[in-house]
Amino acid sequence: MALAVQGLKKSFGAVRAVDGIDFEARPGRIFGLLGANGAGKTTTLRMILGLVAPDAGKIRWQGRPLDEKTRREIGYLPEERGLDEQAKVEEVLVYLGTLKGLSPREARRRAAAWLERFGLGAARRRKVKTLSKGNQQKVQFIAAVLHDPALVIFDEPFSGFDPVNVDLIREEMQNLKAQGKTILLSSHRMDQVEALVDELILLRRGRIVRRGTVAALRAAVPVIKYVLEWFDEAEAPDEETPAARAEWARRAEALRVPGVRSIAAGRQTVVEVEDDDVAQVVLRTALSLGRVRTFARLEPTLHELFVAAMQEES
Amino acid sequence: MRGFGAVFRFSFSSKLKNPAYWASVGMIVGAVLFFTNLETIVRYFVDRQGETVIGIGGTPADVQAVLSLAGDPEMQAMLERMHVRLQATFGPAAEGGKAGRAPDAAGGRGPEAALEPAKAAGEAGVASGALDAYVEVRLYPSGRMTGTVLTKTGTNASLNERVTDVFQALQRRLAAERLGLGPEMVSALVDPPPFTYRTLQGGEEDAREQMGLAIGMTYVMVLLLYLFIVGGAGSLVMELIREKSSRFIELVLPSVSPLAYMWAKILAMLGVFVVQYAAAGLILYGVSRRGTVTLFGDSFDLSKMPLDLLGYALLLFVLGYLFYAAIFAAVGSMIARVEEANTATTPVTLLFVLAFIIAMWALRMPDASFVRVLSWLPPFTPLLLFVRIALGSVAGWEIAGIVGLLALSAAALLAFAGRLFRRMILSYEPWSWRRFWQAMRGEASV
Ligand SMILES: Nc1ncnc2c1ncn2[C@@H]1O[C@H](COP(=O)(O)OP(=O)(O)O)[C@@H](O)[C@H]1O
Ligand SMILES: [Mg+2]
Repeated sequence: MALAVQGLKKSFGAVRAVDGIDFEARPGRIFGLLGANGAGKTTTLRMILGLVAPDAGKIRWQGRPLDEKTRREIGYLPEERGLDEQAKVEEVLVYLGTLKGLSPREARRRAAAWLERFGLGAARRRKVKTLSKGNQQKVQFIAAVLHDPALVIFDEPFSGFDPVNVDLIREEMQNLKAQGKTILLSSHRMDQVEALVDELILLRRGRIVRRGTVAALRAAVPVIKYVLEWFDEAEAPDEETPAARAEWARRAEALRVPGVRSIAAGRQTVVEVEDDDVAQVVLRTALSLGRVRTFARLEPTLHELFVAAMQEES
Repeated sequence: MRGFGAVFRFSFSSKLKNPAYWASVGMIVGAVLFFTNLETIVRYFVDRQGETVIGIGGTPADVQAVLSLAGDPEMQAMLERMHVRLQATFGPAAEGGKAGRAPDAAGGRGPEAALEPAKAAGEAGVASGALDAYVEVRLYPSGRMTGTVLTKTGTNASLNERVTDVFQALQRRLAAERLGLGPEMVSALVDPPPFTYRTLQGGEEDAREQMGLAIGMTYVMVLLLYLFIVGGAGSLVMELIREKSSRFIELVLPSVSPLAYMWAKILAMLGVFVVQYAAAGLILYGVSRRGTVTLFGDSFDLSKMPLDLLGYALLLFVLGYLFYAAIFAAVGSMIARVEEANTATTPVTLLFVLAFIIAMWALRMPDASFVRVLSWLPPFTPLLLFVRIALGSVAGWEIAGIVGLLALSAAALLAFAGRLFRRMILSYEPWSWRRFWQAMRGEASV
């Protein structure tokens, strides 16, 4: 059973926020919506949640359209997160839990367990506003999963969160996945989600420009780049003095072996090559110029994935 | 209406748990006690102001005459009540010691010659603050008085008024003496006839006093109605904006229909305010039983409030609140920033303030035709109809008609607010009346 979205559309005045989106998210998998700001990710998720009415299209969960009752099976961590700051932590969690159909007693029991697990056992009776930002984020996460939802929606879960909480959420997402939940995740940064998502769609101006697994999308990008850095030595000092820049430029010129497409010189020099064999030649050349500290293949950025998709389209 | 119960319970109980909520019960009680005891409070401060000393100058004969008029027991009583002391003022010979009181000190000089040093002494007295005012007075055979009043600054209108009051009484006394009129005749000339007012329903009691009590009680009730509706609808709007601006609402609305959410908030706030006013009412009731609530000078007992009137008050509380809450919910659904709340709600609040002002007029003329007409307009109904029922004569059919109209318009507004609410509650655009208009016509949505 899964979440299926078909032909979803939504315009705000002249802005086509979502312009015909189809996808299917399956249990035990993490499905990613990727795209730059304004691509239509949040609007799509809000339509699934019933917060925004679609202009067209179908959203089906377990084969049926969602309504207020079945939406209780959804857990949601919004992009712009807020809690009732006047209320106490436990009160808020119990309130949101009962809204999702838990009994107050059960909601209180689960809230206590989750808070304990996140090291917030003592904060149960404190007002939300007295908690640190990081701890409020934990409470927000708990609010999303308290009722053990079958479908969990995280909108930009890694922006605005503390690094410690980011790791925590990654871990919890893996747990949810292992429990067989259907997970929807949006982000504007590929690097933050690539290790997490099983499948993704790339959105641009409300349309899907690419879909598949991260590996498949990567493979489709024809650009191969390596990043190179030498140990800082007398001839390539740390500071970006004119002399240093001249030295980096000199070395970059020396790297221009056949098969190298372009070079961006700098403290970290980025070399675009035709294939990985050329890269080996580049590395050998680099070794002859100094002690190499780093030489690594760069994964395509979201932008490059987009560009590749655009080129494929045209 | 899924989720209604959870939203209602949370909103209601978290308000009741808030200490600020109970503090406002104290504020309501305080406001009522303050407004109904304004006169006592003002008198208290006047009493504490201390004595007003008025220096009197003029020819020794005139000064003597004034002082002897003031010596009359009735005048003495009046001066005491007003905290005024009269003091003869004479020239340098009298200054320095307490001799100022002795009219003989200026004896032997010519009448005009005596005036100059007295004037100087009076000016000095006013300048030093020993005198609050110096009056140079001249008496005429007819009993008329003229004079000049000297005070330190020109801004003290109440002092001038007090001086005038004192001399008016003195002049009246003087004229009566000269004309040979007894106190009865003076009273017949200047006082209103001391009628006793009775009505057919009034029974034994003095109808005029009863009227005063009724006006007093109505005043308190109108004040409470006003505070209740303004407070209730105002809190509703702030609650909505708070949940919206914190984005908490995004966590709530996936599991509740906007309509259920709106109703839960409106009714929770109503419940909160009913509890609050019941608490305030109980405290006021207790206080008034101990005779501490005074109104327009009369001590009165809130427990004498007729029960049917209390029933009407409750009905108008609820309907009036629903009417204004509907407007505020519609407006509140479109506001996402606390700073915008005032801009958006002020016009509506002003309308209700206007209703309050009209109701204050209506207290004195509950059967006037403008009161009658305006009480049919739903925004004014809660306060004006209450005044009419309490003090005027309203036919049963008219009450039913007016209440029905208020109920109908509240229902229509609520239905309309629900539609707007559903469309706009998740919009975060800046507030403007233009956008509100567009939203009303269905041209804007989320
Ligand atoms: N409530 C709204 N009113 C008007 N425009 C909106 C609204 N919500 C989103 N948009 C517009 O729709 C587009 C998509 O926004 P969004 O779904 O938030 O993108 P993303 O989440 O991918 O950053 C943007 O151009 C945004 O400005
Ligand atoms: Mg977004």
